[in-house]
Amino acid sequence: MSAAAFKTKPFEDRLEEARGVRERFPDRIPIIIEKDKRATELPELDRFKFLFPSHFFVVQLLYVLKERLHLPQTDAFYLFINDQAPTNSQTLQSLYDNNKNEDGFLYMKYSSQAAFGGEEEE
Amino acid sequence: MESLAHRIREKLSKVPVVSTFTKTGTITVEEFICAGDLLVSKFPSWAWADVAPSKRKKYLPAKKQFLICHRVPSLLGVNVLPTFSDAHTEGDWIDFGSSEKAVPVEIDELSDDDKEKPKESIDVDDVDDIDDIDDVDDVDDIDDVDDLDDLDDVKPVESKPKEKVKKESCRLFDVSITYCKEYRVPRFWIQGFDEDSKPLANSDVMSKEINKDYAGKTVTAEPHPFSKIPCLTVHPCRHGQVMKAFYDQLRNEKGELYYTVDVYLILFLKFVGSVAPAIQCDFTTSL
Repeated sequence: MSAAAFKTKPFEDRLEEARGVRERFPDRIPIIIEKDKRATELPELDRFKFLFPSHFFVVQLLYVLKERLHLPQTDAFYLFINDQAPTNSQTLQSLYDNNKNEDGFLYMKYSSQAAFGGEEEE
Repeated sequence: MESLAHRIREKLSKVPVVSTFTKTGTITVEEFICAGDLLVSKFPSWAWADVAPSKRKKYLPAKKQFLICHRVPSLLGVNVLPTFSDAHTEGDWIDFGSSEKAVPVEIDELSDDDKEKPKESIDVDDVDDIDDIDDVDDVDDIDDVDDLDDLDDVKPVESKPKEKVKKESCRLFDVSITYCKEYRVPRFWIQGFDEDSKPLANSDVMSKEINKDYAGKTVTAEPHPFSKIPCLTVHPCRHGQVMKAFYDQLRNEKGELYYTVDVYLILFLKFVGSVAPAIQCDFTTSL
């Protein structure tokens, strides 16, 4: 199962799954994370369904994901929700409240912008 | 290392007047002022700063010598950020919460065994259909960025959740942006203070706040061009390239730049902020 395949599951199934996981873990935010398809230079995450404590800041999420992806030292890393990049200081709870999908999950994509020396480096 | 040679170069380099920003990602003084004005108007935590007349850079307006954001809290030291090894699996979920807090579940759904394991090895082979990703086209595309107007909606920064910034570990930072004439780009500076406003040692800030990938490499301690106090700064030699790449990524269908030079500093903070992820100087949400 990939994030893309997950999104093609029937809406009712996803709704039910989100409801179930929220009930079991009321203090967690269920987040579906996938790579932006244009970020061809980045590796794929080997999992895509994450539960993060709702008090986590975006900065913590970024840090964990970068670590997991073993990103090259000079890469920066960005998350997008509906094409918008959240700030580091937003909590996952506030992101969830404002951006959750109708099915009850929060969907995010990650992308890179190589900082401090980029793709165009000769 | 900031050498004498550098200072001489900075002195001798001409003040750029011709805009080359679409080609090189670098900006002129005029563009710096214009982008600074927008930053200050959208994000009231940022302000223009002036210095004693003798210390002013003549190529900058008197009241707009550099940009400063005073006493920004650090949410946490990078070193206390969670890691993947803190996570455990819950069915097909990777869970970063502590398992004790979970509402008890039926035993057949989740064995105790699963709960106890701090980390289950995640095997890439489990993902057998990663190829499917390419086949799916219904993924929203970032290209559709159509909401520059959202800049207007950005709310002034609300006060940070106080309980997260513990008193004993309260660390505040003065973040400033100067114009670097030599590289024709903004330059980012950080100076740390404790809760009694005593300056923090740069080595301490470097080890606790600066992303290890950058500490001592891209980020070094150098005298601030105005205060002359040694601060941590990000070396500007790549900023132009990075900013150009940033803007190029946000071109519209016709290949025109989507954003104008006014939002330069807002974009700049987005990328430069990643060197010190816990220091909250990037307030933008909608870019």
